[in-house]
Amino acid sequence: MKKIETFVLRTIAGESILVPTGKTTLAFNGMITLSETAAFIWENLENAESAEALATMMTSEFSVDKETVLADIQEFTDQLIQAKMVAYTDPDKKW
Amino acid sequence: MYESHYNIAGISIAITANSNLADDDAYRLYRTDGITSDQIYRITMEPSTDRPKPSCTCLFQNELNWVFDGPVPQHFFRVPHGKGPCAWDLLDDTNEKKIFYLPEAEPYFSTALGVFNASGFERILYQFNRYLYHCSYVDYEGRAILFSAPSGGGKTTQGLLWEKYANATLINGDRAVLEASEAGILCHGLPIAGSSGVFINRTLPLAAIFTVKKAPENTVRRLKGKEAFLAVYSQLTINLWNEAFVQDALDFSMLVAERIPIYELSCTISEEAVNTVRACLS
Repeated sequence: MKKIETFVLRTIAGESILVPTGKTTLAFNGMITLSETAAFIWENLENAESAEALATMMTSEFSVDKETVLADIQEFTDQLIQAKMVAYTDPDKKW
Repeated sequence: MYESHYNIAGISIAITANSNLADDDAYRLYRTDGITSDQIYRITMEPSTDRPKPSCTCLFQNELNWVFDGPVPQHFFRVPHGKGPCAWDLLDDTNEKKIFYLPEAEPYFSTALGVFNASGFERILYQFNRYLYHCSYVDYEGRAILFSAPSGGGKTTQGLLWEKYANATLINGDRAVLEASEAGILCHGLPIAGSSGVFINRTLPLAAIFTVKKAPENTVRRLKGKEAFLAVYSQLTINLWNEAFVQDALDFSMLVAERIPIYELSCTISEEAVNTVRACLS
């Protein structure tokens, strides 16, 4: 997956926040607050070759089982795709 | 060519133009005889008929300004009520800029107001780590008290109440310049004051920020963490299309939120509102 919008990810008072910048500011107003796991997914989704690979990265970071993590990744990336913040890089549109 | 000088927020701004710039009441207070600071920004105004074509990607636009993407972003400016862009410049990260303008716009750009309107004042401030904050700025016993709110939210009204009931002075009814210095957060006056018409040239240490909310009763609530951060960040003038500017404004907002007490003031238009804040400050 690749990010198609430009956001700055910052931790403000213990919360992870996405702030739009660049041309993204024409389409997005305000800020997006992310959970800890969502922030991890956002930061690492371009470094992972698949949802499975990202899930492996996450299980070593958080003490959560892989099945739960995969469900989190699926749900969050679906939202990101819907919001046109990221795009699939796989031709079969799985990742 | 003539050179006109201003000192705003401790920055010496030298403007080279075809004429000695005309000042209105606001800019007259900030005019100087020459360079007055080691922090210098230079603007050169140059008439031209060779208006460039904008690149295809627009990063920002409002009523008077357009910014287009490129190796160095292009900025176009339209005079109020003008038909189209009449001035243009490149937004690089140096402490000088050359603004080109169509010859028919000469009368507008022979005034300080016109030059500063076209210059992107928040960008000049940013070059020197200063930020434009949307608030009314009150001098109370030699300390700066700021009331922030969106336009029409009652910030100037609170400032005027302080003049009436607390022997304070309204320094600016619409904006202040904030700077993080070794001595703490400083608050500078500036000649831009919205419709308030109050633009005193004075720098004071910042004591507190109050975000104003109209309410039937007067109460104060201390903001912490994310709420305090948002009270600062949301009222800064930021070039959102510029990632470095956004990053630095985020850092600056966190710094102010850590160092300065920030409150939500729910208030009426009354002496009691002033007394509620005074009690909080003491």
